[in-house]
Amino acid sequence: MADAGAGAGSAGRTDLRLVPTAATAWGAAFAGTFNEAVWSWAAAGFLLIAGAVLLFSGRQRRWAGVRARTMPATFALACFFGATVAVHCAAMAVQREEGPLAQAAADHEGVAIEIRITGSPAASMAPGQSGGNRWTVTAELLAVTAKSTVARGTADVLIAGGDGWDKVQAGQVVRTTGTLKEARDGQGQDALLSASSWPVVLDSQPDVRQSASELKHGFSAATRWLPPDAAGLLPGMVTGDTSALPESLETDMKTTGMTHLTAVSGANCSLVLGAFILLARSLRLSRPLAAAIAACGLAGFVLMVGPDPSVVRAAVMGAVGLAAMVGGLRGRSLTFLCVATAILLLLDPTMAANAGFLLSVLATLGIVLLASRLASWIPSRVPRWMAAGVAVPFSAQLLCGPVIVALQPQFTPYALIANVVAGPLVAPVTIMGTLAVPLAVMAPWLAVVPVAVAGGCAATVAGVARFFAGLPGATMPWAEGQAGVAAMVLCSGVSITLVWMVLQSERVLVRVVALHAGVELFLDRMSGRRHGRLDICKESSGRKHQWLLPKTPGPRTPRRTPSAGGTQARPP
Amino acid sequence: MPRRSRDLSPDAAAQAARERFAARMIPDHSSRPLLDLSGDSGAETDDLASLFAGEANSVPAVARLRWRTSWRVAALVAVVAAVLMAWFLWRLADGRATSEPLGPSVSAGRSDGPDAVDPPAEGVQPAEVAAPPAQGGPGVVMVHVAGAVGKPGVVSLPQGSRVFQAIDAAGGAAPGADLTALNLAEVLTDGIKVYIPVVGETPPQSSPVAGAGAVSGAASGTAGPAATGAKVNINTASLEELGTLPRVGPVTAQRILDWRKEHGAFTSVDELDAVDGIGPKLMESLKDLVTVQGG
Repeated sequence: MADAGAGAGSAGRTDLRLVPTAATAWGAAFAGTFNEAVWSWAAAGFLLIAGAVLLFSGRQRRWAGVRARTMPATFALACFFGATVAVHCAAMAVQREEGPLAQAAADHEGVAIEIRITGSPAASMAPGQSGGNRWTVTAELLAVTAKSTVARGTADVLIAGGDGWDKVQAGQVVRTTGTLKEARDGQGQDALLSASSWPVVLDSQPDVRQSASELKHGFSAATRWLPPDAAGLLPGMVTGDTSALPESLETDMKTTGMTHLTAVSGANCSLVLGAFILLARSLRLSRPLAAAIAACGLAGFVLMVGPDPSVVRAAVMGAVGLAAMVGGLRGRSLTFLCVATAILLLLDPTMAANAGFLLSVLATLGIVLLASRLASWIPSRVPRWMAAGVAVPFSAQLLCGPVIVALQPQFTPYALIANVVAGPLVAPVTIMGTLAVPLAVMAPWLAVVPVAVAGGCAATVAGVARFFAGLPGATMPWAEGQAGVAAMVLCSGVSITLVWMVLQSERVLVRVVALHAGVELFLDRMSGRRHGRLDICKESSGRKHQWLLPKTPGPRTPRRTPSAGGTQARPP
Repeated sequence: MPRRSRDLSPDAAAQAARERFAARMIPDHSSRPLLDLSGDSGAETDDLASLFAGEANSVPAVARLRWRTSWRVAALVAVVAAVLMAWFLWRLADGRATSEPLGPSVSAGRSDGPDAVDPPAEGVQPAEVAAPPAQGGPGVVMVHVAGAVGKPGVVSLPQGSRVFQAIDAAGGAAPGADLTALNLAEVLTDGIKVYIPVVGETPPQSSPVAGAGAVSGAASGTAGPAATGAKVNINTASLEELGTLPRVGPVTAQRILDWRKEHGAFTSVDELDAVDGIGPKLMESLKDLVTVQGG
């Protein structure tokens, strides 16, 4: 935005102009998700007024000839953006409170409903009472019949159903019956339908996600000949499909803090984007063309694994993280991160309460703020790729630690080392696996080679997870709730300080000396007013030799000679 | 007192000059890219870093912060925010719910007092009820084609159509469909489900398929329609007819009728589960005795 005029001198400055914007957007979205529409309207109004006041006060001062860029303008920008997010939240809350489903949901009524599926079914954690699995899927409302009235309108429904609901696909128009309930706070949907009957497919429209799920199934089928650990892990690491993941391996991954590998995460998207850029640049394409090809490649990857909100989020964050790692402009990458966060929150304010989004932003923030600093502390004898391989997981772990502890109160001492060891294997799994996904559908016999390579690496990753989970003390209890989070924040702070002290011992010395000088100055200032300077006191003759004695005219004062008897010398 | 009176400014200027010189001479480590790709892969990939960087990083990373924004940018964002807010409000106004009473055609099947539009005498007798226009009208059968076909879903066909026509209407058999498992010449009954299995798959006879009342493709051809005739059509049955079902008393039968009145016709047998008082167990026993036809 305003960077154009900033010139080359601004490259080294940490750009904090968009931090208030992202923070306000997050605050407005978080408050709006959990409160009623009235509060969101009020927040929007307040932020608008505050923004206008700040803007005009800043402008008036500019007319007075102070400066063109002002701090109030920064905050005005944040206020306007926050107001927009608040309006979106309010609109969603109104939809929830007065939408076509509101009345039926409040009465917990049985309804016959016609919906269009918009997501892919996910197995829900708790199995249903009837013994079978429960599946949840998002859908948009077409018509709902209750109490002899047909209501139409736009609303999002989350459907929980038993067997049969795992077969529905995005784009299908489905009729079913069930009981409507109000959505829980923080859920993006307007109502919850617990379906009591099988879905009856009325119509099917083409949707990208259908082909995505076909690709996923094709890839899962193509990996089935691998050993069970690799066959379960490989689809998870490439397409985020964890249906075949063995239960014990899933627990072990959780114990070693490697669960982020089994979903389509920012790391996957970074790798795909980086691979495309390297490919395009090695073909000697021009820079804008390479960037365009890489962006198209990433978009293709997102379409391939299904454009779910979490995948889109991961793609955006992955691009930001790659820019932070390769670009080396800390200030600029922070701006990218702020822009990405703010826009994602504007598009879907319910993300503000989503732990996955929080973890994703925190991990990227860690990479942006800490990773390059950490890597620069590591002595240059160590190869840079190794330094980066340690610094990136460590910085992400430091910032994500408190949130992970809040979700799952246990301490996993091997999380960092397991991630560092598995790190180099993630790249071949992702690249080869991604290559194999379209091949598995188009030419299954061609896909055998990349699947074998990726499967071997995935088996090693699984082995790493199992090894570290089997070590003694792999999980330790940690305090729950606020205390646990505070303790983890402290733990992160202490560990980064320790790492700094170990890696930068000479700087520690410099800092200690500087700190000493500061303390000295402070004491000096404190006591200087009343009792004179704090100075070195030593026995002396009562005369400072540096001081030139004034040659006063007139007779010299007689020199005082210490008497032979030895009276004590006075301090100066 | 020379020590006290020494001016600080020349010292500071010299210090600044020294710092600038050092910054030019010594490569700055703190703002170097984390992954320096220029070092290892020749000249063409050093553009990779600058693709993102945009400009060279020769300036030392002094801990300075940028906080100030031009008011023009803030005003621009204000305009964009106003447009976005207007869009959100317009979408909110556009997506207002519309509700209308359940049409008589859908709630056909029972004479209900308050609904004056409904012809009172018609609904009681199932034979007289014509299929409502929403269901395709008379002379048309609607069947649910599922399994290995191009476009699974509900298709409507003229009365007297055969199974192979239904498969054609649903986009044709998918590659790998096991057509020999079906009786392709079977006459379609309204409201049934035709399941086309894949080669090697056993037809899901026992699974609670929607609309399982009728032929399931591979069901023995003659038994299907005959069995359907004996079943109670829950979309048109009266209180007495529903009462003939096992473990369905007058209370449950009235609840089924009430559900039909409030929610319209059943589209599948499974929807009976949604009626109060019909649990999974009763559902199991009813599944083979009822059917859904017309509306």
